[in-house]
Amino acid sequence: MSKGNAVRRVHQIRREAEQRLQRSGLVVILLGSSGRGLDERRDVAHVLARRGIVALVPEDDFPVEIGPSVLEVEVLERSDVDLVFLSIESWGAATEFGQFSSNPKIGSKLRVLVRPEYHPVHSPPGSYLTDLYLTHLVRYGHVYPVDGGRQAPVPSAKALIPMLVERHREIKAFRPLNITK
Amino acid sequence: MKKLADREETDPEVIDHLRAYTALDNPIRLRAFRLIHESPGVPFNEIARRIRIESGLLAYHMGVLKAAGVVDVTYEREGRQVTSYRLGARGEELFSELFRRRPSPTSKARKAVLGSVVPRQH
Repeated sequence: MSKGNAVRRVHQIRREAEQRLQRSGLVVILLGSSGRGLDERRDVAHVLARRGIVALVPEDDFPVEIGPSVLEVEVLERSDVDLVFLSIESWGAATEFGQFSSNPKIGSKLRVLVRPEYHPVHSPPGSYLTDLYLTHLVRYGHVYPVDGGRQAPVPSAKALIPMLVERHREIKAFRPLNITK
Repeated sequence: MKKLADREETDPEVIDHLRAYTALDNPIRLRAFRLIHESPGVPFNEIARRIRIESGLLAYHMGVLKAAGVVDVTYEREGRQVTSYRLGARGEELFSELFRRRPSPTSKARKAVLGSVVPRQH
């Protein structure tokens, strides 16, 4: 089979599967902190994989030859990734957010998850970072409060990410023009 | 309306197909997939050299293939760590599905006709 034919056949098989499921195939990257945050991202990736979504956890899936900071801006700008979830639980993740948020090619794919006490709608902007969340919220509309515990009735990241991904792929399947990239 | 949890379990084969073919539905990833089939255990830097793509972007594409369960990865230390790739069982199945030449209906019919007229030799 020629290269061109193989590419077309792969695309056709993917489309057939999408039509049967009435859902789009997606590639999603889960970014955040290490430790408990990494365990949580692995759990979410597992849930998404069971729904037919390719969910990457960079610490597990990217080759060791490349440092994570080299990867991200360039890759997120140029690749075919659909959504990037960033859980901000550490200063490293906050730095990444600063980098991504100012880049329009990444900003529209970015879904930012913050604890309610730092979410600009749940608590008034005080710090520079909370102010940046507000700016991102106004520009792109995707800053979500998560993991509020008993203090705030918001979902966990584990519940929220699959819900957002599922709706995104429904929209992509039925109204692809409504997806901004 | 069906609940999401019900949908998940309705057709795991189609779901698996969607995940795998979403991963393969990219010319760079498809080239890497063929290359890994031809050279099992090929290191990451070798793939980058042969596909002629910068390693940052290739790292993402290899991550997609791994996360989709299309390739298996091993990490070896040879002075510094090396990531190597081979197709797993699922990857081999997909490769056969895509690239193995299937007998054409004409040759199948020809075989059936031949089978009926040529006596079996033991």
